[in-house]
Amino acid sequence: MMKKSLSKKLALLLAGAMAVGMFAGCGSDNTEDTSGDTANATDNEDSGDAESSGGGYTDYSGGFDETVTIQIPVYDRAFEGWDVTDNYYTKWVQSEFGDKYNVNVEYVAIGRTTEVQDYMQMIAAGTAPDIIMHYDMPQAVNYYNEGAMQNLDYDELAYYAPDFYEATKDAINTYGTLDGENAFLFAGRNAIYYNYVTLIRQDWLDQVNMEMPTTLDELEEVAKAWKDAGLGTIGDQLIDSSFTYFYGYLTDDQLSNEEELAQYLDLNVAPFTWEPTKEYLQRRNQEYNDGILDPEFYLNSTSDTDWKADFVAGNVGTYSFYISANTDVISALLANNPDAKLSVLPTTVTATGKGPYYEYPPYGMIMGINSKTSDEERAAVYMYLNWLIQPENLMKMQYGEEGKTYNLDENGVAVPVTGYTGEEALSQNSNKDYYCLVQEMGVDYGSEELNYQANLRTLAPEGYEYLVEESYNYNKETEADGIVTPVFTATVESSSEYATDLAAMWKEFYVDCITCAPDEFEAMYEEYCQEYLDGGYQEILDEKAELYADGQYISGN
Amino acid sequence: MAKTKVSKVHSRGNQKLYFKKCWQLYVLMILPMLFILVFKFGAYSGLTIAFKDYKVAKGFSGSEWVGLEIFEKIFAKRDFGKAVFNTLYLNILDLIFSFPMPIILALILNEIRCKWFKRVSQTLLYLPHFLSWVIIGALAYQLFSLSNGVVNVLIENMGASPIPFLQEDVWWLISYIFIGVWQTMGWGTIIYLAAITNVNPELYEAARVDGANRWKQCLHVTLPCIRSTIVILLIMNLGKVMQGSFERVFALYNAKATEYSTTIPVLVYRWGIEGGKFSDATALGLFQSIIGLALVLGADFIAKRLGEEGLI
Repeated sequence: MMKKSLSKKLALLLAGAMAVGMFAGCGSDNTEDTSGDTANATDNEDSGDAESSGGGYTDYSGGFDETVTIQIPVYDRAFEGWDVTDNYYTKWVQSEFGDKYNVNVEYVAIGRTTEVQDYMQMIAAGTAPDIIMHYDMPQAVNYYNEGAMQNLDYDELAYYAPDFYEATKDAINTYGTLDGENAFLFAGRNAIYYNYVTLIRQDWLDQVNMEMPTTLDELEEVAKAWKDAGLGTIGDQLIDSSFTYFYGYLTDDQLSNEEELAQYLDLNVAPFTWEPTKEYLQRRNQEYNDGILDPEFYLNSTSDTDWKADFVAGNVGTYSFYISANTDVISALLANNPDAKLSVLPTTVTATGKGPYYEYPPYGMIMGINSKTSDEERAAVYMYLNWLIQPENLMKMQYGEEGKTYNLDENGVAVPVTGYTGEEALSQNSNKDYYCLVQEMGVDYGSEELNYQANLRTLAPEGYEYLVEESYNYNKETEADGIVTPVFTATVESSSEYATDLAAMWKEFYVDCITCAPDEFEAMYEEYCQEYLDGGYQEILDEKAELYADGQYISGN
Repeated sequence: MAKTKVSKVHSRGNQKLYFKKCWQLYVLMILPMLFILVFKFGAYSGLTIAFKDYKVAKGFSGSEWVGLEIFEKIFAKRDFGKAVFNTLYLNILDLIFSFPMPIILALILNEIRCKWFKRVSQTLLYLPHFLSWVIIGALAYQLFSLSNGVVNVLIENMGASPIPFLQEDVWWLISYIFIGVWQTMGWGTIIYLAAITNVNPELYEAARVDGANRWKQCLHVTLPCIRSTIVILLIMNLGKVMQGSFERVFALYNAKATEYSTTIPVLVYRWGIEGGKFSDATALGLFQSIIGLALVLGADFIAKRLGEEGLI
C-alpha cells in the first residue's frame, strides 16, 4: 500500500519536474535566440546602410570610444609549458595594438586535432571567437552553411585593413564568394612543400648495399632486401583524413581530365571507387602480403606518434612528417640506434615515377567573421589583421626579440637562437598559430633564395641541414607536378552530409583491402565499391557532376 | 507492521514532527536533486532538435521544424541497422557473461573465512573499476596486439603462432567481452555482498541442522535470499541493453576489426561530435532511449508477473 502511493507520488514528481525542465529550457532558449536573431538582422541592415552610403565607415584609427573586446582563435597544439592564450606575445599584442585602439584582445584556444568539434560546440553555445577559421575549403563552407559566418563587405575590409586586403585581395576576389555571397577572408601563403619529408634509414640502405631508391619499384626492392637482412619494413599509418594517398597513381589522362579531377579530388572524401585508388590498394596489398609493409600500420593513428615510435624503435625504415628544427625524432632515434644515418626519400618514389603533390591554393587560412560579431568588433578584428601583417609586427611575432630569440645574418635573414628560455621564447612552431591568420609562412624576404635560407633555419635540426637541402632539391625537380584541387563556388550539400560516414567506411574498407589475401582482392574491392557508392558517394559524384556542368567551379590550373 | 507505519506517516501531526526531526536530511537532498533537475531534466528541451533541421548558429528555437524527417533519414542510413544489431548483440553477450560473474564471485567471497585474504582479494577485484577505458584500451594493446603484445610474444616464444586477439572480428568480440567482465565483476560484487550480509544467520543454522553442506547452503539459502536483488539488477541491466559504453568500444576499436564495433553510442559520437550533425545524433539517442525504456518496463512487468517486487 505504502509502496504504491509512494511510487505514484514519485512518478508525479518526476513528470512534473520533466515538464518544468522542458518549459524552462524552451523559455530561456527563446529569449536567447531571438536576441541572436535581432543582432543578425541589425548586422545585415547596418552593412546594407554602409554599402548604400558609399563606404561611410566610421574612422576608428584614433581608438574606439568604448573598449571593444575581440576574440581571436589560436590553435592549441598542446606544447609543453606553453599557454596559447596568455604569454609574452599575447601581452605584447595587448600593449601594442589593444591599448592603442582601446581594444581588448582575447585569445581563444582551439584544439588542433579537435578543431571542428571545438568550433561546432562553441558556435552552438554562442561562445565562438570572432574569427571562424579552417585550412580547407569544404569545412569552411560547412561553417558558413551552418549559419555561423556573416556575409562580408569587402569594401569595409579594404577600409579598415588596407594592407591586409592589398596582400590577399586576389584570393579574396577569386575564392571569397560562395553561392553569390561574400563569405571568406584569406591569409596569404608562400607555399613551400619541402618541409614535408620522408626520412629513410641510410644505414639500412648501406647495410644491404643498395642505392637510394628513386621509384616505388626500387623502394619495394630495397624493402625486400631489408626483410631478408632482418631489418624492418616500410612504415605507414592509418589514413583517415586529408586524402591524397592516390596522387602517385594518377595517369596523365586523369590529370588532364578536369571533370574527373573536380569530381574525385576532395581532401575530406576518399575517392574509393576511382581507378587510382584501386591501384593504390592493390599495390599496398601486395606489399602487405610480401611482408614489406608494417603489418600493423592501421594501428598507427595520424593524430598520434605511433609511426614515429615505430621508426624510433627501428621497426620501420621510413617515416614521413613535417620537419622542424626542434623535432625530437632524430635525437630519439640516435638514442636507440647510435649508428643510425638518415636521408630523405626522393619525391619521385611513386608508382608513376613522377612527383605529384597536393598543391595549395594561393591562400592560407580561410576565415569568416562570426555571425554574432557586432560592427565595431568586426572593425576591430580587421584592424587587428592589418596591424599583424605589418612587416615589423610579423617579424616580432615569428621570430621574437632581436638579440634574444634571433639574430640577423649578413643577408638580413633571421637566425633563431636555439635553446633560448627567457620569457620571450617562442612556441615550438615559432608562433605560427598567431601569424597564420595573415600569412601562412610568416615574413616574406622577397626572394625564393632568401626565403629558403630563412626556412632552412627554422626547419632543419642542427647538424641536419642536409635533410632539408635534399628535400628542397627533390621538390625542385618535381615542382611542375603539383595538382590544385578545383573549388566549387556553390555548396556541395551531399559532401557535408555523408563525409563522416564515408570516412568511417573508408577506414574499414581500405584496411580490409590491403590486409586480405591477393586472390580475394578483386571481389572484395568490387563489393566495397558498391557499398561505398550506396553509402552516399554516388550522390556526391552526381551533385559534383551537375555543378561542374553548370560551370560552378574554379579550375585548379 | 507495515500498516501501522503507513497510518503514522499519513497523519498530519506526525508528519510535521517527522519533518522537524529530519529536516537536515532534506536539505542534504537539495543538491543532488538540483543536479538531476538541471543536468538531466533541464537537458530534455534539447531533444526537440531531433525534430528540427538544427543549425548550430540559429539555436534550438531558431531552427526549422521538420517533423519526423530526421528519423526517416537515420533509419535509412547504412550503419543504422548494423549499429542496432551490434548494440543488442554486444550487450546481450555482456549480460550473459558479465551479469552472473559478480554473483558467483560474491558467493565465493562470502565463503572465504580468512579475513585478510578476503579483504585483499576484494580490493584487487575492485581496482579495474577505477581505471578509465582509455587506459584499459592502451593496456589491452600493449598486452594483446599481434606483433608487439606481451601475450603474443610469449605465445610465439613457446612456438605457437600469435593470436589476433584484437585484430580479427571474432577474437575482438571475445576480448571485448572478456575485458568487460574483468573490469566490472569486482565492483558488481559489492551490492550482492551487502545483500548476503542481510541474510538471517538462523536460516544457515537451520540448514546445517538439517544436514546441508556449504554448497547446499549456498544454493538453498543464500541464493534465494538475494533473489530480489538479482532481479532488480537484472531489470536495470536490461534497460542498458540498448546503450552500452561508448568508451569501451572506442578504446578497443581498431580499423581492422570493425564488424562489431559500430554501435549506437559510436554512431551518436560519429554523427554528433565528429560530423556536427546534432539533429541526427539526437534522434538516434532518443530512439535508443525509448527502446531502452520499453525494455525496462517490459522486464519490470514480467518480473511482477513472476511474483517479484519489480522496480517501479
